[in-house]
Amino acid sequence: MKKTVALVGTPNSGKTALFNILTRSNQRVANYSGVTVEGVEADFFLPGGDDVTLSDLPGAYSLRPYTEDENVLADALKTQSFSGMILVVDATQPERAIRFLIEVLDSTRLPAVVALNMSDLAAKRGFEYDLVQFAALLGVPVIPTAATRKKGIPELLAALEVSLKNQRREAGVFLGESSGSASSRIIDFYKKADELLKRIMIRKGFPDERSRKLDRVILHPVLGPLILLLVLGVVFQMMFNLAQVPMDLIDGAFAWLQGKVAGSSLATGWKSFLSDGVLAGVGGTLVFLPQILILYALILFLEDFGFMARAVFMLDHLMGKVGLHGRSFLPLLSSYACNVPGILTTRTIESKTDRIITTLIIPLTTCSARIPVYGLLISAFIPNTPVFLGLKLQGLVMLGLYAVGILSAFLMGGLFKRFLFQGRRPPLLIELPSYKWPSMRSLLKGIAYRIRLFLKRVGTVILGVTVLIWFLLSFPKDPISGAVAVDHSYAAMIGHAIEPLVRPLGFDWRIAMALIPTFAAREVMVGTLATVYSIQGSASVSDVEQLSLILKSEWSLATGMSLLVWFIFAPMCVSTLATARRELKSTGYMMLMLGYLFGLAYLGSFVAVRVFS
Amino acid sequence: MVLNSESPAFTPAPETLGEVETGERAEITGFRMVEELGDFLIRLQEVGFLVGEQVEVIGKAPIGKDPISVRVKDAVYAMRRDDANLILVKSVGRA
Repeated sequence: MKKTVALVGTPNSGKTALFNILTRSNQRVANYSGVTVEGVEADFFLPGGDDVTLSDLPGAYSLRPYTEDENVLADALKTQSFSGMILVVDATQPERAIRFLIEVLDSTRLPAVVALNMSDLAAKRGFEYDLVQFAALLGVPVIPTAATRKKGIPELLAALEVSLKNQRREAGVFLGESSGSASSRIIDFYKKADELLKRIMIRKGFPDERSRKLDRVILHPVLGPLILLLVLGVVFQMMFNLAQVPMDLIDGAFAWLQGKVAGSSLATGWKSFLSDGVLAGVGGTLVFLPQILILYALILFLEDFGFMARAVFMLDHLMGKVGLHGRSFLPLLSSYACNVPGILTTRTIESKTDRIITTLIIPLTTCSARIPVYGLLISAFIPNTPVFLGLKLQGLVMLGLYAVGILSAFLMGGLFKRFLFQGRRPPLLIELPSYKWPSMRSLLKGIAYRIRLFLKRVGTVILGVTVLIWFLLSFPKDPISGAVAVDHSYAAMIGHAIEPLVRPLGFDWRIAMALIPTFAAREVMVGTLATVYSIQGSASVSDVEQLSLILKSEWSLATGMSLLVWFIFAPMCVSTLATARRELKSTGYMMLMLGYLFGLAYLGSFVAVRVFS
Repeated sequence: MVLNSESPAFTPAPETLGEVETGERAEITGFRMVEELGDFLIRLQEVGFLVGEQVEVIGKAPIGKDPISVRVKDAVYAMRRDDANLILVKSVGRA
């Protein structure tokens, strides 16, 4: 059987950089049996040629879990049958890292190798270790590594290969059973760590002056908040502007493919299936890939650099005013690309109530799937008149939609906090790590991993849904002519059935029908409307400009505005709801999320349609 | 002359970490036990806030002057003043 090795270390120890250097590029989500949360694993070869799996477990300060992330680690070490461990120690922060190292070595007799990581940085700052003594006292090989510079990797692998030949490791002279209360165990581990450090540290390095200096600017009372605003501004600018060219290319490629299909000698039914079903659906989703990619690249960069922790530090006070936790910042920001990874990011929030509140309000952030719908409706109903200083009305409305989204998220967060989770604010404890220049390779691998996850979704859920929608729209055919007739399709029947419910919102049966598939993915709305109007009318509605002209002539302003408001609030993505349920391990909270979002959407649209008519 | 809390020169010695001024060092003497925060107190010890340990308050957040950042052992942590007030200290002086 293929061996699996666990990669264990404290947060910010360069563990993931090491993982990316060691493994081939076949990262995948690892599902641990019995646990619903997932880790990442990939394969690598030992010098002797053995193919081994490396499992990247979440970083932790202790085996006594405090966050959901740490729960994953503690659980995996208890329940998974690993053949060995690579323990990552940050050589520039030895005290705490070695306490954890001793705790892990104390808890299991699995073969282990220590990677004394960031050894180049440590050497530069004057740290000097007696590696022979280090290894002898702990009874495990200790290999200095510098993951970002690919140093020490062959040595680490060779040591691992030798260690894995044994099933169990002898306890080092320094280890022994610790027992007693949690508190006394901690003190015991620290005593051992201090004792060990005294014997292995030849010279203690200087503190990290560069980070201290940088913090004087980044956390400056005035400059700090300005820099934070600037960073956020740049992130959103890049997400929209840089993405434009690749998005147009993807759009063009799919239009070209649709043209090829139209010009082919296939039967009409097949043409419609390929063009309106498969290509329209997949293309309509794939077009967001550049935006998602850019947002993740920037978030990964800021996180690896050490800026995200500072953002949490600066924002905690403000977030507290609306019932949120500073740590809610990163999940909320990630949610602007897609809510699903945003919800997964809430695992780093220690307190259960803060995690629940953050998850509940995440769907109110403007995920990129809303952008095409907003874009379509804005171009159809909002005139692009200049307002002032070169700002145009269309752009301002788009900005307004984002603002309404995040403000309502904060408002709901405050309400949930006040009415559902009273009591003392759960504590905040977050490390402000040393600033580090992120390694390109790590960034690229992280991005590639997310792209794969996204493409998987496009290839499965979204493709399936678009094909299903195409089917519902295309059948049954007109009994007399035998042609496709949307008015008689299954989708129309469903649309008519729902219409009474949504008529107070200004929606007719066509909109009701187009709303159904948005529960699989919001962005499908554009494709569905295009299909509805192209299958129905004689003209093909392949591009958005044409579609917006049709909508303008077919719908009233009130209907357009009402739909826009609906899209701010409505809980229209099954993946988000499913992820929330799985992560919070609660159907109740998912129902609460579904209920309050529907309530807001219905109320908002109900008001909007009356204001604008 | 007896200094009292109204005379300007009087600054009471900090008793909890939340009261320690930026740039000051303090030695941890104990913890204020709060039932629902037992886990948090253990986590504090795990990252190095142990009785007898010297820590340094190195900054405060620009907005609202809360949370504060504290150096303990070889790392820096941010924590809210409220939470820092669970840690009892005696002043050691400036770093």
